[in-house]
This record gives sequence, C-alpha cells and structure tokens, in this order.
Amino acid sequence: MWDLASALLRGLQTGSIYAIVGLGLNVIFAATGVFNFAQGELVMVGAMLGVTLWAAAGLPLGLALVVVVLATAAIGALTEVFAVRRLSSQRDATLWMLSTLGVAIIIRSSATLLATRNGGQNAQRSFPNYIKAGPWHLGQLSVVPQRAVLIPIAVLLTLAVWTWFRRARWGRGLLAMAADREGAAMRGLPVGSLAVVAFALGGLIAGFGGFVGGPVTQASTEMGFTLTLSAFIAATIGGIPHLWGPLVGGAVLGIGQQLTATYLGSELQVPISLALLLVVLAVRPQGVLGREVRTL
Amino acid sequence: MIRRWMTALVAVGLVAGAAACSGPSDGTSASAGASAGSGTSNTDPIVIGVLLPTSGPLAGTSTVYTSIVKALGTSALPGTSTIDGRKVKVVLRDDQGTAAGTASALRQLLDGDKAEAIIGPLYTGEATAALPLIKQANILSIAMTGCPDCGDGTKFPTTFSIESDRPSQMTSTLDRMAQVGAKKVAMLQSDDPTGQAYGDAFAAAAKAKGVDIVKTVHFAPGALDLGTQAAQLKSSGADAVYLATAVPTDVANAAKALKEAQYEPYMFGNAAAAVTVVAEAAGPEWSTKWAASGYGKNTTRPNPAPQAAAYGKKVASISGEAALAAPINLSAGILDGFNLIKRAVEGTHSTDGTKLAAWLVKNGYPDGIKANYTFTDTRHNGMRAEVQALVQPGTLEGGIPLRAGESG
Repeated sequence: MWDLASALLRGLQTGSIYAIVGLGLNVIFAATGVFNFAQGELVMVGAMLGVTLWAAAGLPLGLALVVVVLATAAIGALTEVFAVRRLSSQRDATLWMLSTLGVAIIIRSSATLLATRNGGQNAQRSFPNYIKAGPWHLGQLSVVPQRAVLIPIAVLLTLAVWTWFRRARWGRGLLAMAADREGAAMRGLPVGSLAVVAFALGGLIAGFGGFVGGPVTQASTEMGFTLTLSAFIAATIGGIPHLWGPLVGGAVLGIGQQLTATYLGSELQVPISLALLLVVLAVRPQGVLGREVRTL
Repeated sequence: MIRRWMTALVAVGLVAGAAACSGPSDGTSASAGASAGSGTSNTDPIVIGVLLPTSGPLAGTSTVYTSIVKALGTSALPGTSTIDGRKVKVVLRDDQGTAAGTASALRQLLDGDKAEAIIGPLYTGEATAALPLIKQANILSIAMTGCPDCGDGTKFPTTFSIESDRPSQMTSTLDRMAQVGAKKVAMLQSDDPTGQAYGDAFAAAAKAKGVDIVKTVHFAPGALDLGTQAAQLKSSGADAVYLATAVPTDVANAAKALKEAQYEPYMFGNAAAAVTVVAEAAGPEWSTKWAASGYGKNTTRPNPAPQAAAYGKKVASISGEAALAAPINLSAGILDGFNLIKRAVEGTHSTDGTKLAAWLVKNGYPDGIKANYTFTDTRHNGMRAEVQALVQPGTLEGGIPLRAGESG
C-alpha cells in the first residue's frame, strides 16, 4: 500500500513539471495555432538563469524569479515578432515549425556558449533546493517538501492563467482570437499584439517552470528537448489546447511512469509512456478533456 | 521587408542548426590544401580530426574538452603547432552523442577534411561506431573511452585508448569497495548503451571476484525522479552502490534522490561521477564517500606528477579554470591523445596507421600527463591498473580518500 501511495505522490510531483511546461505550450497553441518548438529552451533558460542569479550571484529568490520570468517572457515575445508573425498566417505549417526550431537551436547554442565561455562545466549545474526542510514521514510514505510543493504550484498556476483568460481584458481578447482569429480582427481586436502577449505568457510560464522545477530537473543547456517531449505528451493526453489538459495529462503520465518503475521495472518507463499516449490517441484523439471544451 | 527578415532569420536558424548538428568547429585557423594518406606533401598541413558531442544530451560533458581542442595547434599550447615539420590543422566535428552522428561526422572528417588521425569519441556507443571506419581508413585514432573493442588491438589494430580498460577499472573499484569494508553492493544502471556497458563490466568483475550484487536497479536517462529507485536500493541494505551511467546530471539526480531517501552509502562510478555538478548535489559531507574511477594517478592530489601540475597551470591560463580541478584531468586526455599521434608520426615520418600503431606498441608514452601509457599488440588501452586513481567529485582528491594501488 505504501509503495502505491509513494508512486502516486511521485507521479503527481513529476507530472506537475510536465503540466507547467505543457501549460505554456497550450496557451500559445490555443491563441495562435502555433506549436512553439522553442518552448523547452525557455524552460532551460529559466533553470540556467535561475541557478546563476540565485545560487551563484546571490540574488534574493523572489527577485531572481522575477528577472527570470521577465527575461523568458521577452524572449517569447521576440520569438513571435521575428520568427512567427509572418509565417503563422501561411497555410504551410512547416514554415513556423522550421522557424521555431531555428529559434530553439539559437537559444540552446547561445546558452551553451555563455555557460561554457571559460571552458568549464557550467553547461550542467546542480540546482539547490529552495525549500530546505527535510522529508516528512507519513507511515512509510516519505514526502519531500521541495518536490511536493510543485503540485500546488502547478494547480495554482493553471488556475491563475485560466482566471486571467476569463477576467482580464487581454485574456478575453485571446479567447476571442482562439475562437475566430479573423472575426476578432474584424471586430477591431489587435490580433498581432494579442499573439505577442500569448507568446510572452508562454515564455513567462516556461521560465517559471524552469525555475520552480529546477531542484528536480537540475539545470543543463540540453534539458529543453526532453522536457518538451514529456510536456507535449502530457498536453496531448490531457487535451490540446485545453488549459487544464496538461495538469490532467501530466498526472496521468507521471503516475503511469512511477507505477511502471515501482511494479514493472524502470526500463519499461519510456515504452509504457509512449504506449499510454498511443492508447489515448486511439480512444480519445481529442485528449481526456478535449470533448467538453473545444477551445480554451 | 519583414518577409526578408523572416527569411533571413529562418536561414540563420538553419545554419546554426546545421552547425550545431554536424558543422566543423576548427580549433585553428583554416588551412588550405589539406590532404590525406601517406602520399601527402610535407608542406601540407596535417589534419587532426576530433570527435566530440557538441550537441545532444551528452553535449554538456564535452565542454571541458573544447578549450583544449581549440588551443591545439596554436601558440597557447607550445609544441602543438607542428607535427614532423608540418603545420597542424585541427577540425572538430560534432558526433551528436549518437552512433549515427559519429559515423556521419567521421565520414566527413575522412572524406571531406582528409583527416590523417582522429582523437575521440568520448563514449562507448560512439567509439564503437567509429571503429570499422577507422580500420577501413587505416589511420591512427585515439579514443577517449575505455570501450572494450577500443583496446582490442587484434580486432582494431590502429585504434588506441588513453583510458584504462573496463576490467581493470572495475577491479580498482571493487578493491576500493573492499578497502572501505563494504559488505553489500548494489548497482544503479542507466538504460542507455554506455550505462549497459559499464553495468555489464561491473557485473562481470564482481562475479570474477566473488562479490554478490544484491540489487540492480535501472532508470531511464533523464528521469526526473529517482525516488523509487532510491527506495529499492535502500531496502536492499547495500552499503555501497555502483552508478553505471555517463551522464553527470543523471548522477546528480540520483544523488539527490538518495539523500531524500536518507540513504547515503559509499558511491562509486566512472568519470561522470567526479564532476562538479555531482559534488554540488552530494554536498561536502557525503562527497567524501564517493569515488570515481577512470582517472590517472599523475593528475590526482596530493602528489600530482610535474608534467600534470604544469599542464594544470597552462589550462588555467587558457580557460580560467582552477588548476588541477576535475575538468583538467579529463581534458588532459585530449593533449595526451595529440601527443601520442605527434610522437608516432615523428617517430615514423608517416601517417600510415599500421606503422604508427607498431611504433606506439614499441614505445608507449612513458611521461603522459594523465598517466604513463603502455601498449601491447593485443591490448591498446594505455592506462594500466597501477597508474589509475579514484577521485572524489569536484576535486582531484583521491577518492575515499585513498588512491588505487595504495594500501587501505
């Protein structure tokens, strides 16, 4: 029983990271119809810049987090302006796929150059815990606060974004654009600016995820792709572009991985994750939440 | 106008991508007229190809080598600008940390760059993929890994390795486990080719020594939470754990998970367990219970060899790193590889792989930086058990805290 409880808790914790990264993907895709392949690199920037500012340079945690999310939001906005804007309206999706892939490579290469400019090992950093408390024990269940805190963070972040979309003027504008981009433009909504806002919000979420998840993922200039892949699987399982989809999909994926590791063997984690995705696509191609809400 | 900007940006991205994936990164200024084989003119530059993973999941581990690769052939590293009177041109290509990427990059080095000798790759899977091409081209290659076939002079007569072979590395590790009084041994193994290779070698060495591995636990490379694995290892009651992986961030994640499980056994691994990111994750107290193999005695503290101390100062002046820190030990292998090539070419006045191999077997490299290398016709791993050391993460202090060959 304790093994099962531990697997469920660990799955939710890991799934929360997938959920945060997947939320950024969904926000951008819902509003603009573009899948930003550079999103994972912004997570990497969040982790690398975060560990540099906070752990190495000694900035206060909150200030470092603000600087990180502003930086990644800015990179997200610039990505829309320079790499996506003129291409996303084309019918051929390969154009924005290529351009966002190009941005991903530029970000990763630049980060590697910066991190290793003295020939050292700074392309990989150990991200210290920002919650120092040791494990709590509930029977045989060990709860690590630094990992457990990711669950409420992911839920509250999703709730905040969901609320912003419904209450804030810019959020409602994005909803309108998601429903009918041309119609929104005809009614005078600044769809170009709204797209920038969507990418900036996606970048902000990615940077936030890289920072708050850093103690679990560690920081490495090569971490972006793998994390994006898992987040994409989570978002697909939960339902693209549903805002709550990544949270549900992340939980399903994370728990599936941990149950596999506990009862079947860790060597089966990757195949079973992908099998899980295939099953969901076969049974509910729209994802777990896809039918109830078609858009945001 | 904006369309042009878009086109330009996409083009820049693609060019950067191509560069990251397979493009060369010359360590020296370009030299025209490079040529291959034994029919080269003495006035042509001699092209030394280097294979490192500068992209992909293993890219971070190659950064410690690149400052030295870039300094080869320049005045920053005296003695490397010429070989046998010919100017040196170093061409670095990205093997992407995969067998397919290695084959592609090596083919470019051989056919496009006309490389006459090769340094690298770093890892087992990539080095194994390079072996048939090297053999076919009959050129000298110095692998940075102790992969089984890299040291098999019978199968691949022109490939040598600056590393120890796995059996002697694992024997040193098991000897140290015995010295610290470990009663139960477990293994944490990554499900990738290098993890598999290290795991197999450790299991074989343990069996040969009559050591029972009480538990072997696997993990997927890049897994975010190794808590389940940590719990399984803890419940096995092992007081020493061998880490079979070459990815430092995975080692760091394992260290965090084991600490969270409040389980801090003696930890053993290869060079990936010795880097700073692992020391940061393990913390200063537990680091003293870690030992990473694959190191040469010459560069370890407290008594580094004079040539290693001098090299440490030189690298510190090039890259700004602290002298004789763990990365310097690793990068010393690149310069040792270069010097093996240089000495053999100058000893034979040829770039023919067969002649160079025969010269190396006869002469070895008794004053290498990382270690003193000796070879035989059949055994091309240059670092023997007696010149190996185990070190703590983040330092070059002897691991736990003795060095191989020293009594407990």
